[in-house]
Amino acid sequence: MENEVKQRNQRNRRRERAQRMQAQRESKVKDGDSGEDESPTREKPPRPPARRKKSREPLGEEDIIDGFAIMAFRTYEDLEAAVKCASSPRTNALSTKPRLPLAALAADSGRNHPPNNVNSHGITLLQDAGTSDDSGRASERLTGSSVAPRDPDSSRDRLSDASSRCSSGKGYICDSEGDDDKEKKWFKPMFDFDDEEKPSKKIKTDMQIQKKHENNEQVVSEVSETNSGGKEFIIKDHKHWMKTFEPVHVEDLAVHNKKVQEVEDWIKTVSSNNNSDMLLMTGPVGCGKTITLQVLSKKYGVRITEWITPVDIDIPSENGEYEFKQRQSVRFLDFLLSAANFTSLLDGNSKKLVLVEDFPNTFMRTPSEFTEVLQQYQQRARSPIVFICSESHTDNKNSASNIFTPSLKEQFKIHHVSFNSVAPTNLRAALKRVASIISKKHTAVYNCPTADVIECVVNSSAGDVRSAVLNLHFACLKGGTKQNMDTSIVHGKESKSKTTRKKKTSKFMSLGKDESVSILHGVGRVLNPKVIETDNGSKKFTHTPEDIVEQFISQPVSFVNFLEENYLPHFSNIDHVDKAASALSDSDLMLAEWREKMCQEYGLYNAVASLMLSNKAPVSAWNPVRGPKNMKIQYPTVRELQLLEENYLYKGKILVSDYQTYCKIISNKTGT
Amino acid sequence: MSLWVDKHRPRDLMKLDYHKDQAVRLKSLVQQSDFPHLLVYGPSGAGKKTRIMCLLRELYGSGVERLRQETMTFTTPSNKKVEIMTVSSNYHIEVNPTDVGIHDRVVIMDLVKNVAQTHQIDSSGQREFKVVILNEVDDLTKDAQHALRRTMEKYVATCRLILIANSISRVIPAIRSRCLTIRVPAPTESEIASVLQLVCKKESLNLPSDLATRLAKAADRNLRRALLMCEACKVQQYPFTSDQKIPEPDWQQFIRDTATMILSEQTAKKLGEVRQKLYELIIHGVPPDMIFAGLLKELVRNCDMAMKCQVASHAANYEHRMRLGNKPIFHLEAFVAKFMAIYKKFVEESMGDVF
Repeated sequence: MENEVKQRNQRNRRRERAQRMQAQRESKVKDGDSGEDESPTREKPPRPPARRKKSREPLGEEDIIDGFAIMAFRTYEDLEAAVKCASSPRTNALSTKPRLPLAALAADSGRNHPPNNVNSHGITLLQDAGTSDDSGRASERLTGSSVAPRDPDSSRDRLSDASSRCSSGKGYICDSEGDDDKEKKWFKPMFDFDDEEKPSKKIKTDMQIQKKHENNEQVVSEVSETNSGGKEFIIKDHKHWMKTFEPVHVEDLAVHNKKVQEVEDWIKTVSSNNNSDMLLMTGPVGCGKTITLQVLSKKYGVRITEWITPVDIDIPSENGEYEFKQRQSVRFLDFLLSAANFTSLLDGNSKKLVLVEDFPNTFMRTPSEFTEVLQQYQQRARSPIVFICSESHTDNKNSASNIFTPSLKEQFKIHHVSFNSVAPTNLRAALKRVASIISKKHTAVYNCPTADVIECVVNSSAGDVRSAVLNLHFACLKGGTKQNMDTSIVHGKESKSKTTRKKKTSKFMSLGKDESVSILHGVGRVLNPKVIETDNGSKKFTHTPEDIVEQFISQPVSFVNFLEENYLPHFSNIDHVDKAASALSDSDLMLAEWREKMCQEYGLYNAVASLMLSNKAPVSAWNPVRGPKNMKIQYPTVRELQLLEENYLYKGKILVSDYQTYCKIISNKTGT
Repeated sequence: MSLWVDKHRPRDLMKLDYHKDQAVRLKSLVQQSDFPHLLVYGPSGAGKKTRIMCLLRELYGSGVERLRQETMTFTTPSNKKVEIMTVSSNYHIEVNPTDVGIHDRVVIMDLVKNVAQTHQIDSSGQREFKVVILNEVDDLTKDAQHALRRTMEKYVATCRLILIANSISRVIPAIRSRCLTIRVPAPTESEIASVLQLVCKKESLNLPSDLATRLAKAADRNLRRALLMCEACKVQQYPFTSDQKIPEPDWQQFIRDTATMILSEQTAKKLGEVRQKLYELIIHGVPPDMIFAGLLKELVRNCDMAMKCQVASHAANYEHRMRLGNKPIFHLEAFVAKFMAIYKKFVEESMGDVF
């Protein structure tokens, strides 16, 4: 009862708000403030959210799309009717693209969810193919979760997807592609900047950008445009560095061809049938998993619906009570099913797939829940689903890829495509493509990157395309003097080996990822120390013992074990071995003293430094690194040896040293 | 059919074959009706356990001989379950705490606590304390030894500890001072020979005294090994001849092979092969100190006096480090490398002298 009243109140309030806003909007239009009130075109990617075209859009539609306006409809049928009639005049304009995926909405209202729990919804994005990118996602999430500040003034601001956000029990639905009613926004995304002070400039840049896009003939991520309208004008177009240079064709992908092919095959086979096929894509961060999927699904006209885990913020209701929340996994399943089984109202396209990249963390704790969800999905859903997991070698405890156990993959016939980090060649090619785009269109903002700079970026980004493009962005920005840039490049020594092609391994000092060295690399550095000559003729190690010790100080014992297992094949002279072995013996002594923390470090340092220094005549050969031997002692069990007293406690050592041999002899002879 | 070692083990303090004076003293100690914690130490095969069992029999009667095996489970602070085999009678419980490696502290504390907290139901005519026998106390971690020290004091009213060790040098002084330490020296070769004769007589076999002496020598003053050898000899060939082959433990053979490898070639590659051999020995449970001793014994045979001294001192050094360290292989390998370096130099010099 109380609840109902509350609902009604809220609904009324919302309706009022919507009316108020509409009124404002109308008045604005009358004022002829065309600069503010446009809605972006639906065609091609008006980079800057299309302020230009706004005048074409009928106002009526905006209202309908407005999330809160939707709430005013009692039944789904009403809504449907309204949407139909509103959109009909514009069908031509819209025909190319799906407009407003209302699938989730439809599902909701069909199920009669109470429309009032604004706070507890999952924020879900229904995105068009090829539109999602990280920045877009992030800002959408932010705006979505902050329960919009809605002062009337903000109606003038561009509003990203807020228009289509609906507060159903389920989640916000953002039409990323949006009818891009950027302008009709009655609330202002918290994290966007207001730029009203310089409207004239805005328009100018808009135009420029628009032109660029036309040249490009490519739709470049509409999502980000819609969300980031505000910022765009402040930092001009470099905000969209990532977006602008995102691959649009399959050929542009930096991912290895075979992997692309594999995913492509999967999409091809799967997009036709309505089964709940599953695909798992794993790989290190920034290796192009998501973009591969996006580019391919765009190519085949498959619409992607992505789950974004809602930010759980408890906001008390009016009475100060916390609202009942659904379990994360239930919400997740509901979303998946509605996304998979309901087509968007405005979108005739039936090809769709569900993407999960952001796993609700309840699954990390209880993987069994995930299995249940998958089971349900398999039975009830009629769309393929794609899971994307990043894997990193550092923390494997909490990574999502852990919930996909081999048995789970088997059970649900999940097709697994594992990506590797991007090869330098591919990365270079991708950066060159970026460079060519820069030189064509962005010379105003960037220095055109030289081959050297690209090489540096490639070297310092360790196969991460995303960070490579960001680095390139930073490296090429105009403003820094050329000299500055040079100082931040560390030129590595000429590599000595004659066979390798790479001459220089220069890296950005200020850019790039922190080098993380695997234990195998560390072992290699200690056992094959590289010496360089400094300017004054003295010699020094490329990787000093101090550096190596620093890398492995958290696991001194296992590192020393690795060294011990592997050092012998690198030595030729027994005197050197003697020194090294003696030092290792000392190290073991120090490492055994676990009560004194410094001893660990000393032990490690002693082992590393003495192994590097003692080998005066190294053997150069390829030696595979072996793991340390498991030294678990297997004493014979009493049962294995016959003739022993049953109820007598034998010591393992004595069994081995005394009994074993003789028991064998005695039992053999007496047996025969 | 059980082994002679077990079959002919003396069960009464008065029937022991050697150290009879000590046996009398032990008997009078028990007759006092109370006795302190004991720390019995001596080399392997000297008869420590035999003496302790005799002592317990003296104390509690033949009930101590009704033994049963039991696997006890303990939970470590890190919530890991460790299992350990125990052998117990109504009056005592025996355990090898080192079987559980670094978790020995938990075992000792919990076990002693368990035993000490259960009082004897019927104390009439019984001792009011139980006995806990801990084997290989010298191999306990320092942690466990410190835990033991506290536990010993706390539960002294209801439980007595009998600790068995090979050497007390690695038992912390705090424990040494809380126990009555009883040294059980290894029997002399003639004592072993006479025991062998006695056993053979009981088995109604005829053992030539030459063979008895040879067996005693080969067994390294270890009575258990001597008896096992004797029985193996009997199985291999009977009637005994005084020059028959005495089987030796296979690991000794293995160590001898390893030593030969070391002497044959002094290179890093050979050291790699030697390491594999050492790994094998360690994994099969041959105690590293025995490997050390065996290797040294074999290696010094090929050295002159000055070098023997040098090698022995290095061996002592590395063996000491091995005791303090965690991984025996590091120190064994370091010793082998050191020996190789010294030996190579020695060989080169003597070759130089020749020419």
